[in-house]
Amino acid sequence: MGATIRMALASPVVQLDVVDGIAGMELVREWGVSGVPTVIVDDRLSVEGPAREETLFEFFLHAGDPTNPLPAAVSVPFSSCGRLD
Amino acid sequence: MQLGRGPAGPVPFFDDVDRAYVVAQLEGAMDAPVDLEVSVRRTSRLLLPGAPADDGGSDDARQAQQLAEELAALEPRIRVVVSEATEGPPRFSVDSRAGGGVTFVGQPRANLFRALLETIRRASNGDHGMDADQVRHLSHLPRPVHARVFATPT
Repeated sequence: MGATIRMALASPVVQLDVVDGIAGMELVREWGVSGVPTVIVDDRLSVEGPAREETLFEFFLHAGDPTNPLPAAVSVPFSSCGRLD
Repeated sequence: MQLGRGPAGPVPFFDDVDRAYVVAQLEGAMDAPVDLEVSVRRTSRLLLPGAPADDGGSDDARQAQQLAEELAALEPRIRVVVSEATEGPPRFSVDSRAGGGVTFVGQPRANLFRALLETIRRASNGDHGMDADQVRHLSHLPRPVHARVFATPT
C-alpha cells in the first residue's frame, strides 16, 4: 500500500483509491477480491498478494503506457474478461 | 432529562493516545497546507415502505466529518473540505503537488489511518519518496491511471 501511495503522489496522472476491504464491500464483491493486498488498475489488471515495489512500478508504467512491458505478476481479473481493450 | 437525546456533544473520536500519535507524526513535519476533502452521503437514497429513512449513511457521515475536524484541530495546516456524495462509504481525498491524488474509501482505521497521515505529510512536503528516475517515468505517462488498492486496517 505504501508504495502505491508514493507512486500516486509522485505522478500527475495517477489517481489511487485505498479501499478498506470491509467498508468497501461492494467493490470487493464487484471485483471478486479474495485477499489483501490486491491492486487493480484501470478496472482490468490486478496484482494479488504482496508484490515488490518494482513490480508495482512496472504495473503502473504499463497501465499508463501499454508500450511498456506488462510485469509477469499481473493477472486479469475474471470479472473483467471481455472488457480488455 | 429528555428521553431519546444523547450527550450534550459528540464523543471525541480520538483519545489521548491517538492525539499524541497524530501530533508526533505531523507536528513540525508539514510544509504547505493540505486540503483533506471528505465526501459523505448523509442520507439513504432509497425510502422504502416500513424501512428506516436512514441506512447508516448519516452516522458514517457524522463520524467521517468528526474525524477530519479533530485531525485538523491538531494540525492547523490541514484544511477540511466537506462535500456531498451520492453513494458509497465516506471518502477522504488528498491531492498531491504533482497533480495526482489519493482517496481513502471508508473511515480509515489502524494502519489505514497511519497511511492517511503519511499521505497528508508527503503531500504537504512534496516528499513522495520515489527516486528521480521513477518520477521521470511516472510523469511522462501519456494516459491517466486509476488504481485501487484493497487493504484491511490490520
